[in-house]
Amino acid sequence: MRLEVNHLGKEFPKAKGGTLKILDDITFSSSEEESIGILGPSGCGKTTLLRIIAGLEKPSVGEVLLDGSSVDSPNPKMGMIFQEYSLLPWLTVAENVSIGLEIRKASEEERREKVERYLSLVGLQGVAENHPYELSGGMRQRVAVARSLTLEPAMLLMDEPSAALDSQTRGEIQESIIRLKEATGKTIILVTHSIEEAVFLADRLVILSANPGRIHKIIPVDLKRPRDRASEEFVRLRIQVLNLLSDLAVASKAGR
Amino acid sequence: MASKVAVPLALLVIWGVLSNVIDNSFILPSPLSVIYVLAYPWVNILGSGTLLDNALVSLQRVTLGFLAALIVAIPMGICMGRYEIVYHLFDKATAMLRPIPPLAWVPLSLAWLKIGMGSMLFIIAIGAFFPILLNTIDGIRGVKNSWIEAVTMLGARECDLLTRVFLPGAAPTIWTGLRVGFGIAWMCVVAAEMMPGASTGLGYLIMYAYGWGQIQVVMAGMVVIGLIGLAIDLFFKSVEVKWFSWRRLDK
Repeated sequence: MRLEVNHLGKEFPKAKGGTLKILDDITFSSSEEESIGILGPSGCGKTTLLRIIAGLEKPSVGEVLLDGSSVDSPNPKMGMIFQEYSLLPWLTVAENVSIGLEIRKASEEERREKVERYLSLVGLQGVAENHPYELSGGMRQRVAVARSLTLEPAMLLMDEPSAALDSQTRGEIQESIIRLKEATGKTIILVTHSIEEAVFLADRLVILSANPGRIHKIIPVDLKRPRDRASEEFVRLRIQVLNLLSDLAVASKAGR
Repeated sequence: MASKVAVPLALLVIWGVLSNVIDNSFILPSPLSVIYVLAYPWVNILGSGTLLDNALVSLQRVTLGFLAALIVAIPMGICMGRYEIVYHLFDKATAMLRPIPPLAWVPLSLAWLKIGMGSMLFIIAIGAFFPILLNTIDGIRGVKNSWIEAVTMLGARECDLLTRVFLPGAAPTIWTGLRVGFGIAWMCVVAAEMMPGASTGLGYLIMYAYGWGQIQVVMAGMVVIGLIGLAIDLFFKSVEVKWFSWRRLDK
């Protein structure tokens, strides 16, 4: 699935009147099966950008195209994974995973089959009958991934999927995202503040500057998979992005 | 266990001693005479029916009045909690009507609905209405945005959100409203049965027995009212523990 973001801008009304520009003239596109990491200093509007791509918010100007057609409301071709786990606590894991299929009125057989398939894809077949509060943060996030996969979206949007996790489970969830990408070939748009995560997962990095969020640079990640976080090229790219982001952070503070 | 029954037992003993000292069953009948009335709930009391029959009548009334309140309050609370416009439409009116005690509605309910079942149910429903309404609004507003958006991304429309996110997500809070509402409705039923024209129910029975100077019946009736209220509250609480433990556990 091909995503195009064309001259996208977003303004919010300020409490004291006037408007606050969050995003300005954002243009980029993804090719099929590509994963894009969106990085930027805090306040660059990266989460807002992802929410507009998802159809949860409307842009002030510009448009989002999915295989050429405009997105203005949530689209079943896109699955979203939120920063908070966003599982429904009164349902079991299996019920949470199958809720999209139930809304779509899929047969019971199809639901059972897909719940099983996607729970095992994220390595969680054993906890189907548990409730979310009985699981660790990393497991909950994998349940959320399985839930978004059941509708077989062509594209996955991830909003800082590992931000609420400790470093060990963060690695776990990143590994499952890689496995998922290899198994399904989905386009992934990942918003993160972790440079390591972005370099590890993405094929291309979109670096935003802040106040308002503009595209500063688009960097291809030409590293072979599986990627070794300790390899020289990985570390070099990481440091390059880190320097870029610290310059941007300084610039955005100075600009204020 | 001993600490739980100590105070009730002590009260019973003090009551027994006092009733002996006062020695006037029109003022304070002995505990034994009250227990005697309670021990034979199927015996007709002074031609006004048995304790059991009157309790059942009161329970029927409270249930009907409570259901009437619930049928209006829950949908209204959902709309007020979900849609800002509806909230602003009704907010001021409900805020003004809410502090009026159910008993202040007695004259109007008699004027509008005449003596009988209708006016009684009205009083009961007024009592139950506001706790249910306010808790429903709170419950709907307490539904997390991340739940709503996650399910929206899975293709949910407004009615899917309502049945799959808002109602189950608000259910524990709504249940609390039902529990409080039923408690108040139960108080109101006794008051409503003391209105002119009532001829059945526990409220009627205790007023009637008072007219005949049967204070042991009055007190027995009060004990029954208390026990039924307690039983209903325990029922609501047990359901809360059984169905809504996720709210406590999901931290």
